[in-house]
Amino acid sequence: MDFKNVLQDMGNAALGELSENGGEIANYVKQSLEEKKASLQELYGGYKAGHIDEAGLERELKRELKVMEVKLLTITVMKKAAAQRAVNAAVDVFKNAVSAALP
Amino acid sequence: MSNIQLVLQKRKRSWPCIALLLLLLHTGCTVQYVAAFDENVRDQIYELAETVDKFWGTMLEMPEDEREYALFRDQYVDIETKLRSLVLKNEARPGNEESAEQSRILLELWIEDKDIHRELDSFNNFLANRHRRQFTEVFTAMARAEEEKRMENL
Repeated sequence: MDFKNVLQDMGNAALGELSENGGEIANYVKQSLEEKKASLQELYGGYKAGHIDEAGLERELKRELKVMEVKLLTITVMKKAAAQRAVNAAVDVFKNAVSAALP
Repeated sequence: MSNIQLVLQKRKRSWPCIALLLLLLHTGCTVQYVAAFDENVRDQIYELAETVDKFWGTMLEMPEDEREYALFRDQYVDIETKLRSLVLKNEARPGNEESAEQSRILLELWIEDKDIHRELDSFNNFLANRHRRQFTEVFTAMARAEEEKRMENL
């Protein structure tokens, strides 16, 4: 078994998975931030227009933070899943190499 | 020591390695960083998203001055019960800390809305529209997390 090549293939398999998922995560973060920006602008507009008072504004800001926290937790799951796919892709390469090398 | 003895000795030494490799191949060795996918939880998220959206849609169809808390009390309680069930299911799944926390936040937001409505005995369009969208964002994020788990179990 050529360990140098196997290790290189394992690294490539893991990096391939990580780069594929990295773009997806970045897009999700970008989309989430854009949604929050629009929401906060609307909130400020509503406060200026008198739809909510100062206490209401404070409560709404706290709610927005909670919504953002939910999205950050999804990003955590996405990152964990990406790491899982990367490690398992590398393990698959190793297992295939061992299977091929066994008599 | 003869050549045959040397070969046999080398093979004897390599047996633990071969056994380890065979074990690796036959145990389906994979890592698990995210919780296992649960189809029932995924479906419950979609059903709850629909129910909560309908709640806000119904409220927004009514004139603001007719939105008394008493008219919505049963729906608040019914939805709260379903949200508590979701929290329970997510907390019971091993390695599912993120989704468990998401469902606890979801429940907090719902209880806060119930309290606001009870206190004001009304709910204006500005807040109802905002909160409807917040719940959509929360359910979408939760469904996305479940989708990641489903992809891992394909």
